[in-house]
Amino acid sequence: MDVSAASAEPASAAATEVAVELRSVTKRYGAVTANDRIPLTVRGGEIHVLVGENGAGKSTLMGILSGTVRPDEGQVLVRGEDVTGYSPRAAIVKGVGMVHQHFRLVGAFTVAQNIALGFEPRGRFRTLDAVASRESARRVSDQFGLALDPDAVVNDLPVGLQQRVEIVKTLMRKAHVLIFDEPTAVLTEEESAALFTILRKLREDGRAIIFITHKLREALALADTISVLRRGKLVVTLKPGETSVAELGTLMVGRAVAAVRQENGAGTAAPASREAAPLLAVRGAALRPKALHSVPVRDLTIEAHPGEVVSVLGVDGNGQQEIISLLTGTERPDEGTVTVNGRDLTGQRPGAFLAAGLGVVPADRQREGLVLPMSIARNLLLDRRHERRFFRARGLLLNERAASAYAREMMEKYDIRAQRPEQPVASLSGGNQQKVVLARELERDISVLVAAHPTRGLDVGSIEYVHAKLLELKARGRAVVVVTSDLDEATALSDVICVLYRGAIAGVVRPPFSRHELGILMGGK
Amino acid sequence: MDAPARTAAITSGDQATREETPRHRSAVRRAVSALAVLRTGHPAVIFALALVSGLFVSSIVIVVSTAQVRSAWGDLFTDPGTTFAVTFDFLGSAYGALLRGSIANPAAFQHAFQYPSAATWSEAFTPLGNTLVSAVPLIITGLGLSLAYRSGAFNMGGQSQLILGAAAASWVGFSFTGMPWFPHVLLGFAAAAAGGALAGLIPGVLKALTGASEVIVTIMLNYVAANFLTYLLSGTFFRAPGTGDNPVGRVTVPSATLGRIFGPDLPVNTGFIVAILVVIFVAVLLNRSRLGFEFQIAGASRAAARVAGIRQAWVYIGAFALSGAIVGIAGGVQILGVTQQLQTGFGADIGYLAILVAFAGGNRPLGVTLVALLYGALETGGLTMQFDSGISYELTNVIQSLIVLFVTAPALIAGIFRLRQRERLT
Repeated sequence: MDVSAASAEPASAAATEVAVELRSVTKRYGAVTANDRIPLTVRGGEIHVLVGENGAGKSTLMGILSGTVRPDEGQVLVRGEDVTGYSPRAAIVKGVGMVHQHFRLVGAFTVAQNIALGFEPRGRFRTLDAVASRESARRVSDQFGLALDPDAVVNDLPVGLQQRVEIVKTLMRKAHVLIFDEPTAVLTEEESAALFTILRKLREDGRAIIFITHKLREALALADTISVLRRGKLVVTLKPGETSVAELGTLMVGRAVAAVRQENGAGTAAPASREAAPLLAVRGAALRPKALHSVPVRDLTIEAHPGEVVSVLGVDGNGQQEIISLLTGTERPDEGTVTVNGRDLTGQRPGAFLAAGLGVVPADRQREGLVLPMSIARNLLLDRRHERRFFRARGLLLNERAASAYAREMMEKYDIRAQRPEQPVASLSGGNQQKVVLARELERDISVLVAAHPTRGLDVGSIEYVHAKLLELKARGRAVVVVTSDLDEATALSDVICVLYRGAIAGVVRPPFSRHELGILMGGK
Repeated sequence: MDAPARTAAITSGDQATREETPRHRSAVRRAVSALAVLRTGHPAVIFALALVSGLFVSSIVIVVSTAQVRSAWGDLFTDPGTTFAVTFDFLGSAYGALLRGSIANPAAFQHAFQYPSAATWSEAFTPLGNTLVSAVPLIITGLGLSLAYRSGAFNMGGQSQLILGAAAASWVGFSFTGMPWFPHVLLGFAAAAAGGALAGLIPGVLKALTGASEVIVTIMLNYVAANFLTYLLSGTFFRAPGTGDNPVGRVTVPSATLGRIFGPDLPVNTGFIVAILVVIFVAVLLNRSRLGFEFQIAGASRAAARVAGIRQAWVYIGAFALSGAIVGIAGGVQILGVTQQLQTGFGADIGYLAILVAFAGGNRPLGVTLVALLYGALETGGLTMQFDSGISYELTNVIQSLIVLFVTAPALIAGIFRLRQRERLT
């Protein structure tokens, strides 16, 4: 395929025509029916939002549509043509493009190179035509107001722009059906708003858009049509005008959800005895940037007292990663001190922090929080290798039976949707993976928890549960430090919010919180 | 036809005939679902198909490279019967020899049944014994390397660790006289493990302290160790008296020799038992122990290991020391059980083959053992093939490599036979 010839091909003529139709699609994995006779119709010029809990079958359904999963039964029709069970490559040819949640980009390549990858325009001697790929990248990105610099290296771009590269990539392959898998999970509010503008432009151009999300407010704001999946079945398809956040939440989870409205009692009944010694304290810490693009941390002081939730709130890329490293001992500060439970651990290794009673929910759960090829049972023990109950022969050997039984208990308690404890964590959906990390850390005997983006990528039901768990920890007299970019989350949980801007605390805010004030502090004004 | 559809067709056929009792029907159904396993890409199925494919491609190579068979193909259109008869005859004799040399010779078995005695039975089991003997060092070395690979330490230094292990075992074997058998052998293995661990510790410590690439360090140490061995054999301490130009080491005393398990005529020595113990040890270490768990966390994800409080430096040092110790034991088995003395060039073949065996076996104890046995069988069977059907040594090497190539590429086999890839639960 020649990219230079590509343009905004699907014109308005294609609009309102049925772009994709799924007829009674079924997919089973062993005993689990991931998709149970699902019907779905999406027209050109329509934004169709798909909502559902983790493991409801959204990803499987989109896999079937994009060719990575072969359905056991049912039919897939693209523009009236039966394409059931086609390959990912054929899906691209038929005009079905997917913007993945975890971007499929080559970080060291430029925007233009990434966009051309796999469909490179060729010069006279079959050589790569770099000029043509840059030109076409610029043309398509300008057409939809994406404002991408073709020569920028992808690793240097913020997440929001990386996502745009993915979008342009699918557009260049003449996609008239675009699937977005939880695209806002990694975006800030501003970036999300910009994405919605782009999506509306694509809709006006007559393309069919399928948008997967957990965020119900977002679904209502954006959608022309909303379909709700629950445990592999399509529960209902409706128009946004006919429904509400509360109703969608109930449909999705199958029961009434308490915390759908998120501003429920910030700083609730904070017994925070601020006179008591802090359980985790960073005082006057500074960290010089170690790698390119990392943010220098200056004069950082954070104290978390017993029975207190402290949030570190800021737009991504303002030093969150560096602060988490300082709090958990993976980086030693150049200046200042870190104490856990009253013990000065400055310069000690992460093992000492864990031993002193620190729990960690890392930012990147797949890389730092889990070992993907290992089983659920093993992953629940990653940093609990010194607890007698899981080991025998004086701690030399694993007690397989105890570990397995414990994993079953946790799967039940934290609603981790999996078949058995021996299943590799890699086979779980993102939300269920996060639950494994949370189960491990929350069940440990800890005095303070550092949780980075604890609910990123989770659905409402799980968010409610995780928040309840964090507040329970606080009620037990432990301290919690939440590092987040989600304003709603910070206000819903915190007794103190430290707003982070460019590696320094821009302001310390106590309830009642004003979204306006927090927003201004986050923006650095 | 799809497996479920096939099942449906057959079960509905059952109902149409209505002859069978329900018990029979379920037996049929079970047989059909057992057949369906063949299409699901089960590792055993893949392995069998890999063998078949390797033998098939080897057949083509044999046909093309053997003059008498090639000339028969010239008459393909005038006398196809002869062409095929000659081809299958030759292939039959070649592969027959491969089997006779590596697993069992039917004639020898017949002989043993007719005149049962220790000697005839030993002769019948000799091919299998030879296979085991050549597999044993590969099993141990392969597992030692696997342990390092699973821990994220790319130990390419099998050769150097074998050499130091062998040198240490040899020293204990010829210089300690007057010891009873068991303590002497045990001391020999302890020395072998210590020697191998020492050779492993050098790259491990360098990696942990300086971040030096363990791949480069281990490969370079192989050369150092090979020349160190030559140096040892050039001195009077290690060299057997009277060997000048082509020096070999001093012979170990009888009390340090691994005895033969099944009588004096079968070559299988107690090194085989050592191999079984090593398989069990590595399996327990990797799958059941805390140390193995920590090693593997570090091997699979450095970031996760750091967050979980595991110190990468200690993992490198520990994994390399343990890996080297196990490889060193393989060196000990070769000296105390097979050669009884050091030779220049020792360990080069096993050291590099074991890397292949480790990866081909998926770095898993059972997989490594099976691949090592396969390699052992091809090695000994290849010799018989050379003698019996006149196939050259080089060609037997090609055949070995082809079979191993197919075994190591399960995705290729799944693609050729259109097996369903195992799907993941999302």
